[in-house]
Amino acid sequence: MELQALTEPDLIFPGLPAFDIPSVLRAFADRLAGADLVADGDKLYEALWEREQLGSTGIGEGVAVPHCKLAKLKRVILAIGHVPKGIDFAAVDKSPVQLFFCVVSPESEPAAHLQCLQAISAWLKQNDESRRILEMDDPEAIYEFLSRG
Amino acid sequence: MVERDLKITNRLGLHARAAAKLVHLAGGFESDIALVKGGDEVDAKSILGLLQLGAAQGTDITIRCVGSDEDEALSSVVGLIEDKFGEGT
Repeated sequence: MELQALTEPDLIFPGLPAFDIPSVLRAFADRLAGADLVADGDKLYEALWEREQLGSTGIGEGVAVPHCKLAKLKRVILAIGHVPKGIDFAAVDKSPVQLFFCVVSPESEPAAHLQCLQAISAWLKQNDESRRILEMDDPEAIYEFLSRG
Repeated sequence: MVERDLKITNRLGLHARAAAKLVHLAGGFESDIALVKGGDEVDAKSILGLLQLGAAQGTDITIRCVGSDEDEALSSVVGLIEDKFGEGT
């Protein structure tokens, strides 16, 4: 599945106002609730936070995939954000994380969740210039960039 | 080189936390450890690589180990997957 097909410009948030793990998760939760994609931003924040407690979703090379599952969701939501100066996200390689792919999935669809993670990792692997995304501050430009690779 | 075919049986498949566990385990071995699904072969010491497989419950995979501790590596990785990554279901 192509990464671009899983998100939309309204779910791309360059330059998140975040400085640590909670503020990244809060920024995504508030924005997804604000876009009426999830009913309860606080509940989403708590679910994302609980998942981080099980082990950081910082998968290395400056990338994290904070995620959780919610019961009453119709489809997988993929939101993308960046913090170019980097955040200590307790990543597996201990590197600061700049690029965040936030995946919120329906509880009943583990395969759709995996397909989203697959699309993210495939895009990162195939796109040598993926870090150029950090220099972009226009959601539409980032959205177009996702079709590469 | 040693290898073994098996099936991903845990309900959630090879998701991020399961991949992290596998990477942690694989990193303890000198051997190169690969997971193969269809024509795709990925490094079991890379979360990004493992997620690229998108291996849901029921997926057939091959584990391939090459190196001085390949037998131990293979049995450990097979053990983790057969144990459903410790998830119970």
